[in-house]
Order: sequence, then C-alpha cells, then structure tokens
Amino acid sequence: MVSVLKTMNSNTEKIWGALLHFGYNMWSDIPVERPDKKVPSYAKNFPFAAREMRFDYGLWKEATEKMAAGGMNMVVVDVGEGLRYPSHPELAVEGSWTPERMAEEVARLKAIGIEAIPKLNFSTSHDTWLGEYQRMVSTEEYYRVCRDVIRDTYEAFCRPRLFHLGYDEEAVELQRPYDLVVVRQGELWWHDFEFFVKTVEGLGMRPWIWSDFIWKHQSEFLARMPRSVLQSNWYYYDEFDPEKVPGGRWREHNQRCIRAYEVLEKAGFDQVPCMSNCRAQGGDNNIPNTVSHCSRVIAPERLKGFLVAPWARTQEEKRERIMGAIDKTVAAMKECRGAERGN
Amino acid sequence: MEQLTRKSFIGGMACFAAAGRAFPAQRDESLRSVLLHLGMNMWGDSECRDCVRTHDALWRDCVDRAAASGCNAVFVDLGEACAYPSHPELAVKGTWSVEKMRAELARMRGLGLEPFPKLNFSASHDAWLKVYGRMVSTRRYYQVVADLIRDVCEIFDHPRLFHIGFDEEMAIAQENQSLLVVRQGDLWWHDVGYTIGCVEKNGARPVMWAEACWRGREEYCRRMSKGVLQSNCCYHSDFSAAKQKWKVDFELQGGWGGNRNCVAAFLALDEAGFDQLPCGSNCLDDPGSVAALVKFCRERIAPERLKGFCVAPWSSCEPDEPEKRHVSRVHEALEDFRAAL
Repeated sequence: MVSVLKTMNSNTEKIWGALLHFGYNMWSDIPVERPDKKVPSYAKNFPFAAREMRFDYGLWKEATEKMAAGGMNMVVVDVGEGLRYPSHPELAVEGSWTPERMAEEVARLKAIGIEAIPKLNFSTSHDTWLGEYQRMVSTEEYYRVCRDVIRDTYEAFCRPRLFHLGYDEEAVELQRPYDLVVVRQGELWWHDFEFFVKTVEGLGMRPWIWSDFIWKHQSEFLARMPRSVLQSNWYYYDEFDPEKVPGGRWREHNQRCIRAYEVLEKAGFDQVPCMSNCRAQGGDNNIPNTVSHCSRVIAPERLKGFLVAPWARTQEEKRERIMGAIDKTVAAMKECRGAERGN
Repeated sequence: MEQLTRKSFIGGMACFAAAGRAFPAQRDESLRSVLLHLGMNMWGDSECRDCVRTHDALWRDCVDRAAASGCNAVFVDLGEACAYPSHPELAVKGTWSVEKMRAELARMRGLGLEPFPKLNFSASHDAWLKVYGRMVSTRRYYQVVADLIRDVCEIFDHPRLFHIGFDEEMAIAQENQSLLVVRQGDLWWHDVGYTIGCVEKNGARPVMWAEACWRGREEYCRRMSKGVLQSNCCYHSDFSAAKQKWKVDFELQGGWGGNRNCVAAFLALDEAGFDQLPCGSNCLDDPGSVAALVKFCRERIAPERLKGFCVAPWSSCEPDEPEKRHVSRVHEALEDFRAAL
C-alpha cells in the first residue's frame, strides 16, 4: 500500500487522459461469424466478438499525437485481446501485439509526453477477451489466469503506476444479448474485487476502477471500497443539475450518477471523472460540463484529473468520434487551466 | 428394461421373492413415479452443506412408502449424495459409496420400484457440481457431464430413463447465489443437446423438466428432440379454461411470469407430439392439486403419449423441524399420489 501511494504521489500533474481501444472483445460473447445472429432487436448494434484485431495503428498514432500536441498527458489503453500475453498465448487473436511491440509503443508515447496506462476489464460483462476463462469466473484457474495477464501487462507497459481494472456494469441486464450470463453477487463480487486490488497493488501499481457499483450499492461501497483505489465515476449527458436531468424512466438513475461525484468526494476518494462524446443526443457538452462540474464539487487534492472515453473502436469509421473527443477535451483542459491560473 | 444386467435381474428377483411383490414396471406400464432427494445441494450455494443431510432410515421409509402407495418407479435426485468414480472430488461427508448405492437400488427393485437417476444440470440447480458449476460450457465442464452420466448409468445398471433436470435456468432463480450463471439462446440449446446426447449414448432415454417451454413455446417445440420425455409441472389445482389458454405475454415477461403457462403447456406439448410425464406436487399446500393434475392429463393428453405421472414433494428425507416439515411432506405427497391414481 505504501509503495502504491508513493507512486501515485510521485506524479502530481493532473491527468488529462483518453481511453482508447486496442482490444474490442468486451461487449458480447457472441462471435461475429455466427451465421444466425439471433440476438434481441435492442442488441443489433452490439459489437460481436472477433477473432482478429479491429485496430488501425495509423489512426491510433494520429490520435495520440493529437493528444500530445494539445497538451493531454495520458492514454488509458483498453488492452483486451490486443496483447499476446506470454503466459496465455491462447488468448491472442489475429493481429494481437507482442509484448515487445507494446513496450516500444509505450516508449514512443512517453517520448511525446503521453503516459500509457493499461486497462484490462475484469467485469464479467466485459471480459470476452478472456476467452474460455470468462466461463470459469471465481475458480482457481480464473484467478491464476487473471494474475498472469496482469503481470504480463504490467511488464509490457514497463511497470506503470496505475492499472485500470474496469469492473463496471456487472449485471444481468447488461448481458441480455450474451450466450452466457455470469454475474458475481454479494460477497463474491467483493472477494474477487479484493483479489484484483491485491494483485495490482502487489506489483506496486495503484488500482483504478469505474465507480458505477456505487450507484446501486452506496452504503456497502463506501464501507468496503479501499481509498487506495482510484475512482472513475461516469456520466455522459450535458445536464448536471440533478433536478433538471433528462431520461424519463432513467431520470433517477442519472441523478445517482451525477451525485456519485459528490458522494465519493465526501467519502475521501481520489477521482478521475470520466466524460464522453458518445451520446447521440443530449451529450454534446458533456466534456466541458464534466470538467466544470467536477472541478467545483471535488477538492483539488482529490481531483486527480479527467478521462475522456469516446467508446469507439480505433478504426477509421470512428475517426470523427475519437478526434472529436480529443478536441473537446483539449479545449476543456485549456479552459480549466486558464481558470486555475486565474485563481 | 433390456439394459438390466443378469446380476441385477437375479438380485431383483431375489428381493421380489422375499417381498412377495410385483417386479418393477415393465416398459409398457404407465409410470407411477416419485422424485426423492438423496442429494440436496441444488438450490444455491447458501443452501449447500458439506454433508449429506438425508437420513438413511428415513430414506428407506420413504422408499417403502412409495412402494406401498402404488408407485412403480423412483427418480433419485443424486446430487452430492452419490459417489462418482470419475470425480470423487464431488463427494461430501456422508456421500453414499457406489456399493451402498447399488445395494439400495437392488432393494428398491425388490420392492417393485424401478430406480431412475436424476442429475440436474440446470445452472440454477448445480451447486452439487462444486467448482464445475462455475465452469459451465467449457471443455472441462462438458467432460465432467459426460463422465458423471456414464458413471451413473453404470451404477444404475443402465436405466432406461435418466432425468437431466434443466429447469429454471434464469437470473431470477439465482438471486441469492454468489455466482449467477445462465445459458441463453443457442448456448442453452447446445448444452441441452450435448447432455441429451450423453444420456442417449449410454442407452437411456432423457427426461427433463419442460418448464423452459413456458417461456418460449414455439422455439421449444421446434428445437426440442422428441426423444426427450417431457416432465411438465403444475402444482396448483386450477385447471380451468382460463389456465388452459396460452399466454404469450407471460412468455415475454421473463422471470416467474411464465409459470402461468404451466397448464397450457401440457396441451402444447401434446399437440406438438411429445411424450409426457406430468409432475404434480404438494409443495404449494393446494389440496387436490395432484388429483386435479392426474385427472386433467388423463383427459387431455393422448394416451399413447402420456407415459405416466410423477409426484415431487420437493422435500428431503430428514426429520421434521418445529418450524419446517421435511419427511412428512414426502409422506403427504405419496398419500396424495396414491389417492389420485
């Protein structure tokens, strides 16, 4: 724990990061090649699981260079099937990067001022990249594999100070279009979460997670979540006044999402709020509004920065979304820095 | 029946001679069966115990009463209570050895009861599978399923029927389990098909709960093999015209809403040409429910497809507690069944 806090404290610069995807097998366990994609109508747009990488390096390089040029300083790499894990080569797909190539990329990013932080999502709603092991959750073999791939990633990323574990949206509703629904409940969710925290901290990194578990489990979250875990709460609409939020039947849910920033702050958690341009409607200004709202409700010493998540494959057809997220984040960052200087 | 070995046949005949009773049900005889639980680790990890809770004497008493009540068959829900030679790691304290199991099966045959095994492979009811219940639909899981079915068929001297459960595999049935696991769509069908194949490979006819039909009649009737004996359940006594009407809305609701199609499912399955083994119970404390089930099914299911009946007390062979009845529920179910038949 001491080493983790030490590494965190060693870099006091505020994070201005983007979550970009290497792997993308995280939203459906149904393979793209299945001839009859008989999934519910509401799931037609779900990204099916693929046996090859869906990643354009040219766009990636351009996006990261744009981030650096704009003054952003971190990319959170959603690795998934994007890395050929030395301990588990069976998880690789066509085009998975070798650890050596990943290390070279991490070095390139560092040279342009971008810190690369790995993310492996261990939520059962987003772990298709774990291959057959996603169907062995909470077994000894699962724990061994998870420990192995975290270590492999840690080494490929040249010992990063942070490690994003995902761990979001582990719920039945999110897995309706899946072949196999797997959800840890009650003590088991915490047991496994604590395993991941311990594994990451054991390597000297600080764990980082999505905070959405708090939305429906606030009291147990506040009682049991270690303060050493960096929190990324997320909310993607423009409106931050809980009384004015849209959403119809989702209104109450959206209110919980917004209020979670303050709940986490009052409980003393370090935060990196997550923002996005992924909402087709009502989210155009989410990025600047997240920055301004969270800068107001979170104490500067606990506001460790901001993360933008375009939630898009790193492929040409998603260029506009990715580049747009970077543009908006850079603009919000400049405004924020200006305000800080003004103070 | 043709799978009976010479050894078990002689053993059964010896018991028959000793008991002076009729020999187990013949192939063409209508089944009058009861589901008895030897194992009980089937309803979530919080309900699991690391020991067999069935009392030997109470078990034997229930078996004796089944014979006395006119039953000719017993489905033995094995779970954690039977030793599986290929997977001894599934045993708990008090698990019956193969020898003990075989001796009891011989005794049952001697009483005129044909024993059929039941292993419930529904992910909602497979806590007895221990760690393998957390590996559903993996290569290792499939191997274990094949191993256990083979083991059990050998222990039961190749029974002609094998109940594979496969009921209630839905999230709402696992709300209290630490790990919720549900196969959906094609994967559910794949695994049901695989399990059916394992049973058939061992010369037995699969029996399964038909309640998945309640939540998707058209697909169920289209994709389910006619080789599988369908055990549809209905535990209340209301077989009115309203209950007989299929309710599409309840199919779509998911969760327990589909239960409201339980009566209509008897008719749907019959219309689709499935052989049936309707199952009743006293578990809802609805007097007359078993009799109503028997009456309805005899009137509405084609005789050539109505292969008999089953009664499921959904209770264990352990002493009653002040606040909870166990073995007396089994006795009561058997009495209801006797009266209904």
